[in-house]
Amino acid sequence: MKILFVDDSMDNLNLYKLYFKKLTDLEIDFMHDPEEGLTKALNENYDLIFLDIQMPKLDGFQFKAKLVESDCSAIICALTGFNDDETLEKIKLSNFNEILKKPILKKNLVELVEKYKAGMSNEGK
Amino acid sequence: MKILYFGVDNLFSKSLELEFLDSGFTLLSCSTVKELEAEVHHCALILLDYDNDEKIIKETVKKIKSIEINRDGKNIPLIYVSGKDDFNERMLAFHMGADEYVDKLDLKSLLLKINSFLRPDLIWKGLNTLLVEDDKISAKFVSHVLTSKGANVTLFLDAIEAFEYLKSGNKVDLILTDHMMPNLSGVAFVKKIRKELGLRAVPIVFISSVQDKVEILEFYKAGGNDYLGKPLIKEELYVKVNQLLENTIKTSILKKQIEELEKLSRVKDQFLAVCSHDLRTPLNTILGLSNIISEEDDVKDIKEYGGQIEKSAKELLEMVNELLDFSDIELKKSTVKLIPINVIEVLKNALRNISSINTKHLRLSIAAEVDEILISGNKGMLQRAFSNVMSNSYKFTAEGGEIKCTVTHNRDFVEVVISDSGIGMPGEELSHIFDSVPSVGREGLKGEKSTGLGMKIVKNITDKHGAEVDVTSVEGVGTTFKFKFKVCENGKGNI
Repeated sequence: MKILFVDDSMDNLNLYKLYFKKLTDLEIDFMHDPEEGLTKALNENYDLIFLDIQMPKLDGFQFKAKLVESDCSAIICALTGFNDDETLEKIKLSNFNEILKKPILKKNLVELVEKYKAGMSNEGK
Repeated sequence: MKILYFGVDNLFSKSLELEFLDSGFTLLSCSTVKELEAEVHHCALILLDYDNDEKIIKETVKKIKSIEINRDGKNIPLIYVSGKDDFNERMLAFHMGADEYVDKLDLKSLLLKINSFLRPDLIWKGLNTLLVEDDKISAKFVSHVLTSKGANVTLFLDAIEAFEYLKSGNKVDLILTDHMMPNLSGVAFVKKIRKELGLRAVPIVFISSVQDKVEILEFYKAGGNDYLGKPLIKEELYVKVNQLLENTIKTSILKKQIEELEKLSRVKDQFLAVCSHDLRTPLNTILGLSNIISEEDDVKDIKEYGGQIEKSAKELLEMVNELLDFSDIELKKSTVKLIPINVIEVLKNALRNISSINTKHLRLSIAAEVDEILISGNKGMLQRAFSNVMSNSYKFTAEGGEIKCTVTHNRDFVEVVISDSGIGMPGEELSHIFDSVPSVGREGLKGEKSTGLGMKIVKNITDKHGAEVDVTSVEGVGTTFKFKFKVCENGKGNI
């Protein structure tokens, strides 16, 4: 299973890296530049993409729109530090497959990944 | 006419100078009783900064009183200005000989007060009045009274023309209208103004020879604010118009203040939004890591997490400190006590702080022609400004680079230059660096966090010193900050 994390904060990416350190059967890329992240997302075939909402140059909404434009088939999950109703509503309206609110704990993140992993292996059978 | 400002609030005197630009007043600033004594004879009015040291104020007031006695008791109007608008303070100020007490932030009111002292004959200066009157003699009389107090008068003999004039967007502060006119009566005219044009705030005065109470009531029902009976009496016209105009002036002052407050409140909202987002990033790391520590058995990993948590907590602390500094300086509008200080010593202290954390081994240097140059400043604040610039330089300069400070001076000014050999800033970012609206902070070369407030604090401190700060930057070459301070008298230093 191929996973991509795009978040402009290196600290957050380091945290996610630590969370998945022991799950060696996953292939995970971490990008902190959203533009470079987009190129990678379009060129490689990811199953699951995690997008930070607030990023400079290209925010999570714009990023998602570009993915949809290019018929990207990945599951897309929003990571958001904003807890206000307005932003949450906007995320809902943008049809993200999943939303995770920060602070993101290992349990929530790993459970989410496991859920899609199980789904994929069932399909595979 | 010259106005004397006695005080040390450079920021205030600068904004006052701007406010005076086309008022015909010039501002003289002084901060010692000796200077005041030399200048006071050319001045028509004194503004005394009440936020100054109490002892100095008392001494100053005593001096002014003795000067007044020497020139045959002729009073010089004395207006106290202060940032604290408090009832007790006001009482104290009046006890100490103030003729007026005005809030420092309310420059428009201050100008109004100065005008009422110095140009009582022109208190309506700059106000636009519209007069509709078909009787030429009454028109001449009213025009004369209004223009003699400085108001502009636009006269129409016919209400329809006057209505067209208003409809095309001309702004007026007061309307005076006759009632009995051909084509359009005064009452119909006023109804049209209030209803069709929606001009509800402009005061309207009826001028009419009608004496019948029911008919007069019609004027008020149509939307008139007052009524002048013919034959006209000069004093009555003056008093009634004055009351209405004073209201208008006060309303417009209030409106401006509301606009300014709204702007400030928007800045604050934005500020809060940015803060809460930025503060959460290190908190997320702390929470996330402490959460997995309990299920981790590998001691080496736990130690690594602990290190990360400490790093994030430190970042968080630094950001909170920056926020506190910012609110301290920016939002409180506190006035700073400025005393003669050695700018070179302050610069050295700031550089010493950087050298104590210099794990990147940057070359740090100071080049100055002398050991001491005195400027009027606040040590703690100035050091914070220099430190902010230097720690920025530190964040954006790679290992082996340098931070260089140069101090040059002439008789009047001292220039402090802090330059680095860092990555520089793109033009877009450079142009917003001192904006008061917060932006997202930029991560340093080692991922150092910031609130993006550091440079705003620098700008604010510099302003409070009545000094200038400039920044130039070339991407890939480095960034240079240039401060320019006024040298204190006798502050040339020992060569």
